[in-house]
Parts: sequence; C-alpha cells; structure tokens
Amino acid sequence: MEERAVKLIERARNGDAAAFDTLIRSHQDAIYRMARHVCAAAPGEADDVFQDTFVTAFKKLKKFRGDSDLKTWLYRVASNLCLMRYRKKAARPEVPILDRPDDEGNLRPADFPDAAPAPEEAARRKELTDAVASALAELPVDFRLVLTLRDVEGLSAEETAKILKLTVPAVKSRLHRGRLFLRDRFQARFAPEPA
Amino acid sequence: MKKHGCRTWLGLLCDEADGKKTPRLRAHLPDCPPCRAMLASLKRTVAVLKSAPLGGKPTSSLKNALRRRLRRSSRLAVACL
Ligand SMILES: [Zn+2]
Repeated sequence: MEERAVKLIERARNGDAAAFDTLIRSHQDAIYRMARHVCAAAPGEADDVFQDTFVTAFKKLKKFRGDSDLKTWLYRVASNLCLMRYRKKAARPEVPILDRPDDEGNLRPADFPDAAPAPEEAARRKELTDAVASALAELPVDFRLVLTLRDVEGLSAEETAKILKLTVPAVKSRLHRGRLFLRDRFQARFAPEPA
Repeated sequence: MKKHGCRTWLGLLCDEADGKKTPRLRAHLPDCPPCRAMLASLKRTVAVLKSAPLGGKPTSSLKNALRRRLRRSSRLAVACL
C-alpha cells in the first residue's frame, strides 16, 4: 500500500474523522456501484449496504491489518453484508440454467446484436441498465457477487477468491455459469423478433 | 445445429473473453464456428455488463445520511470510553 494511504488509515484508526472522510471519498463510488449491482432488484437495499459498509468499516478499522489494500477490505465488508442480507431471505429455487446438468456439452451459439437498436442514446442506456439489473436480479447472490467483482469492478479471479473466501476454480465456475445465464437473458431481450 | 462439445472449451472461452491469450483455444477456433460464436457472445455479454450504467454515483442525500450515522456512532464510541 502506498504510504499516504497507510498514514490516512492510521489517522482514521485513531479517531480522526476527517481522515476517515477522505477514505470514504476515495472509495464511495466503487462501493456504491458494487452494491447497486449485487442488490440489482432493490436500489433501496443498495443504499443500506453502502451505508452499512462504511459504518462497519469504521467500527472494525482497528482490525484492518493492512495486509490487503483498503479497497479490497471494503469489498469484503460489503460482500459479507450482501451475503448476510440475501442468504437469510427465503432461498428462491435455483435458476434453472444453473441447475441444468450438462446437456451433452451442447451450447447454443446464442447471438444478440452489439447494441440494442434504440432511437436515442438515453433510451438505449436505460434499456441496457434495465436488462442488466433484471438479469442479475434473477441470479443467486453468490453469482451476483462474482460477476460484479470480476466483470464490473474488474478484479482478478485471485482477488475475487480472496474477498469471497472461495477457491479460484469456484470463482471461475460461478463466473462462467453466470455469464452464460446473462448471455441467454440478453439474447432473449435484444434478439430481433422472428419475422 | 450439430452437437458440439463446447463445454469442454468453456473455461478457455471465458479466459479468452477476459482478454487472455489461450493458444490451445486459438488453434481450435478456426475450425469451429460454434466456439467462435460462443466467444463473440461472451465478449458481448461482458461488454454489456461493463457498459450498462447501473449504479452511477451515490446521491448527496445518501452520502449525508452516511455522515450522520457515522457521527452518531463515533459520539457513541466516545461516550463509551
Ligand atoms: Zn469448438
């Protein structure tokens, strides 16, 4: 970690509110974006996760050992909050595609256009956002976490595994299956109607 | 469409979609339209996920609510000393 960050954390640990505030400002956009993706079905829950992450971090900062960088640690705090929040909710049945036994290795070469055709940029962006939010919302929380950390936040499989306390192969497996699921959903949504 | 054992390639297809170079898959791709289509659709899936502006930035009312909560909990911490 760079020295400036170490000093800031040290000051925040000793109760310097301004230092903690600086830490929040450096990471708030990333944590909010992550929460919005993992809580795709409910922006209000994302707001809760966002706040709870920093409140928890503030309380636990003394336990932060500095062996990972602060952002990784915040991702872990946020991930744990998401897991607690969604695992205790009535487990919905697994998404069929994730359950489906290997169907003789056959993968439909699904296809969808690069961008959904929409007259205006704003409409296109809204359509994309809705498509991503509703597809993510159908997945179990473990998959949403892996897809968000890997594909949205751009972390490596190794970093994601560390944050979620999973093995690298488990991260990869969830990522593959999650991407296939999203691919099918996007295709269903964006594919042109058959004439 | 003919049956095809693409699932055995899925790991490499995902790595390739991440921008990694996978020589074994690259040797296979020229002979395999289904894997090429699969790779293209995986890349598009990741691109859609990355580019959808889900999230944006936290609003100032949310950031203010967080500051209020933190002030409360630090006052509590001081009171407990
Ligand atoms: Zn193939």
